[in-house]
Amino acid sequence: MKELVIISGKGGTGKTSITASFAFLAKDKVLADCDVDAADLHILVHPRILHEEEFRGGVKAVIDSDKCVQCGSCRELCRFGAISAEFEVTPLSCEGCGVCFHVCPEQAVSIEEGLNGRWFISETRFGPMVHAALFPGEENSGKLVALVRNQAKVLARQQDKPLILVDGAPGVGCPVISSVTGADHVVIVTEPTLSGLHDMDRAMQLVKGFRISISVIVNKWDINAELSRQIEELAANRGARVLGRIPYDAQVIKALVQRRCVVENGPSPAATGIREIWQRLVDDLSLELRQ
Amino acid sequence: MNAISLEEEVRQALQKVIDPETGLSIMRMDLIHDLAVTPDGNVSLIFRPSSPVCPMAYSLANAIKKSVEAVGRVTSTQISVRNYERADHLESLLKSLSRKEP
Repeated sequence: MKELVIISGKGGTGKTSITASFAFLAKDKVLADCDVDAADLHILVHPRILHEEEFRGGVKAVIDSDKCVQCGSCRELCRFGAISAEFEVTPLSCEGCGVCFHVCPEQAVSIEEGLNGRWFISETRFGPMVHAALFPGEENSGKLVALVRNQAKVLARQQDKPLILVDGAPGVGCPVISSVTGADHVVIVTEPTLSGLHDMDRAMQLVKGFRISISVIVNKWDINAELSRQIEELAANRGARVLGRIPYDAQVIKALVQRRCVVENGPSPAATGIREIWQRLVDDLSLELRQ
Repeated sequence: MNAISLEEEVRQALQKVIDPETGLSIMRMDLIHDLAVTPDGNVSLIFRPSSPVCPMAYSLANAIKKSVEAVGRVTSTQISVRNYERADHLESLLKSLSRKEP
């Protein structure tokens, strides 16, 4: 079984659209949407939820108003401004660090586990998928990513699937680290903008730290050919394989509006680019193509 | 018959070992493979951490060993570690911690 993770560094480069296209092109696979802070792969793959569970990964402070003497110690030391003038905890601001719990002289603060999100096992038009949704403002997405990846592996073993296709999180933070650790290969999708170049470099440094092989896709390459060249040069210098370029193509938008991926919608420049790139990945990783 | 019920006891003990990152049982996470229990209480299993660099592997391995050894009729526990960068070191540590192994 191989685990292929698609990340981007910068958000909005087309990572999920390309993952969905790969999901269409791959033969036997399990999908995992690990972009749990802003999950959207489900929009393109139309899941039918078979199993659903709560995710409880974080804690929040709760002040017992009967015990609180409003001395102000907690409010003074809270670095997140999470305690109001009425000595109530604002859930969206509380990081669950526990300082208020430790400084309260009246033991009026308790730290309680909260419901942070939900996770799902679904059947989609491209095969089984494990996915999740973190509630707005909730933390610990790295833990939820670990859970989603693990359950995708369990599902792949149970159903004898040779490939897990993971839509990772953007950035280089905890959910990305959780998305890539122990993976077989990471694909970084970037775009020819300065932030695309910069964030790809940071993502590459992160993944190299885990000694995982990397390849790079330049999406919408023709919006800035010179930056595309610089991206490819940098990627090669960092030891990453440049899988190819995908041109800007209005057909991608049309497909997304129809909740489809571009490779499903007949020939187009972007679809051709993605198919060629997938073929190279298949060859590199000894995967099987869809029949 | 006796061996089957002991195996079930061991499985139930392992069900109670929770991965703190996912909040799921290690059995549900499919981290335990090839569990074998002999009629005279020798338990062997393979522990596969969820990643080769799992930060919880040592802690989980210790919890696995303790939970199995807490089952009354277990006489020895042999844990092999796979798919983990420091598998040899962890295995040797588990052996040195063993109370019931000969």
